[in-house]
Amino acid sequence: MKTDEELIRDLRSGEPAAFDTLVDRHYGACLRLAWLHLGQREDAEDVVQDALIRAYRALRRGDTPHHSRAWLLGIVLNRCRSHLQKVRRRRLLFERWWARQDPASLRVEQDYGAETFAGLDPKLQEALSALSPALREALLLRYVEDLTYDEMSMITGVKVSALKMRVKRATDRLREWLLEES
Amino acid sequence: MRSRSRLRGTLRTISAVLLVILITGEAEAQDLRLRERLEPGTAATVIALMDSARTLELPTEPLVQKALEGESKGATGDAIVRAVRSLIHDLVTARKALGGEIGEGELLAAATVLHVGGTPGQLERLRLHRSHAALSAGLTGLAYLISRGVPAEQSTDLIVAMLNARLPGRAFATLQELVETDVRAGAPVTTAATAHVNALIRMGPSDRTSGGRRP
Amino acid sequence: MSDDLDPRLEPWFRALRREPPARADARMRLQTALRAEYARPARLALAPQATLLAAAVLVALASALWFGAERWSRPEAAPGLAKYEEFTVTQFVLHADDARSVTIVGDFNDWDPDATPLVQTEAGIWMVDLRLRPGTVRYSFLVDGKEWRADPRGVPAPSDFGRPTSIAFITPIEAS
Repeated sequence: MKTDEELIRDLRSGEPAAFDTLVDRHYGACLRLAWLHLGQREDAEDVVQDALIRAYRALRRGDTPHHSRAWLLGIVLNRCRSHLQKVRRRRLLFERWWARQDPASLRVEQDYGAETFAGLDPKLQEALSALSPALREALLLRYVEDLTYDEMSMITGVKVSALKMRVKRATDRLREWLLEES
Repeated sequence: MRSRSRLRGTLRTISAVLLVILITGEAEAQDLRLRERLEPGTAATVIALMDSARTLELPTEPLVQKALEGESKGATGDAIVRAVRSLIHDLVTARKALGGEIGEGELLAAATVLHVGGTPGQLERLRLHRSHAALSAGLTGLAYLISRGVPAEQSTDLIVAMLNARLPGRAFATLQELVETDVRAGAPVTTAATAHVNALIRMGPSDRTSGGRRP
Repeated sequence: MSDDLDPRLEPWFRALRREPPARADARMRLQTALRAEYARPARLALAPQATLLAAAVLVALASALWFGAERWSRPEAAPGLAKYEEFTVTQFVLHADDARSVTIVGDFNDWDPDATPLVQTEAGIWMVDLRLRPGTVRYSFLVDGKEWRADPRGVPAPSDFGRPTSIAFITPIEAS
């Protein structure tokens, strides 16, 4: 079985389909990260598709990642961040605008039902949604994707010390929510 | 390498300028049509609403049409402004329900579904088909069935079934033609719609599901 | 500070670490998009003179589009652009024995009461064929310039302004 580095070399030697093998290998992890971060399967699928196309273009351009799995997850994370920013900006803009129009009729927007991650316990889903995106990112990268702090720092652009603090805070909150509540 | 990145930068700047020119040109043309027809106070309010809609990245031509409809029908300024605001709310709600980056056609059809009595939850059921080529046709079909009197939840069941069967857009046009024929002949609309949807699904995606006249 | 996960949280995280099964249609969409990427040629390097020429063409195009913007915002007024849009011909008919004039007023003509007259083909039957874009179209008939009527053969629309209104559904059909 070829390593990621060998596949990337094949891609650059004129075998674009070598990327298919990379996708098969990492798609599950990419989808998992995006879905847990965004909370919606369809959004996650869109974001992962966007990320993988960008990854392909970057590899074709000549980018040479040292840790290809972490690098891929980093691209997925960036697309997740853009998506969340856009959704948040639109929601804030709308709520602010609507309140100026007719404060009496400001409606609280419902969060419509979404397919939960692979049969996940709703309590855990709720706990993850309650974390800020920054804490959730750090938690998922550390304890789900099992990245080292150096890898996390490379892909998030955040210092290792700050990442450790975020992981601790996220874990503390999850502990309160999941263990101490029950 | 440096000249390539300079070229890329130049082309990006030109694209941004083009985009600003196009958007500004279209916005000015829309504002002019409103100022020509509406009373000044109403025009100013509607134009401000349209600026907000642009900020929210919503299509603005439907808002122009809504305002002109009101003017044409002799509505008061307040009624026109209320109708435009309500449409903006439907567009935002529709986009949230369907999620992702849906096209303008799909967004407008989804807003119509809400306007004729559908709910965000019903639109949410079509979320899975967001990338389906026939989504716009499906949403138009949903708005049609609800408008015709098929209960909204049942209408959604029928349209979802057609989308699940991967029927092409023309199948939804055919459905509308067949239901209209039956309704004009006096058949109950829900019975007609259900029978024709089942038949179309059985036929499957084929050239026989062609419908609609094309120029 | 120890970085090991609290063992009490471990069962929760075991669930999180499961890779979700991919959906066939999502994978298919991804494959289609990747195939398109694989087929893209390497980017062309333009000579500086070609860059300037391309820029000049783009600016000329932008100007043409800017001055044509008003016409573009009224699709029915710009039939020359039909090749860029899908249109469906739809016939509208009204039986109005008592009418001297009938027009159709709607989203397709900026709700201009005079823009689109119907033609009386035989006594009391008024008709017009319109080329309409895909989507939903609100419209009403206006009889003798004063009486608003919904289309008795059409689908009733929610009335935003207290006048009878109909709605036509022009289904978007994928290009074959």
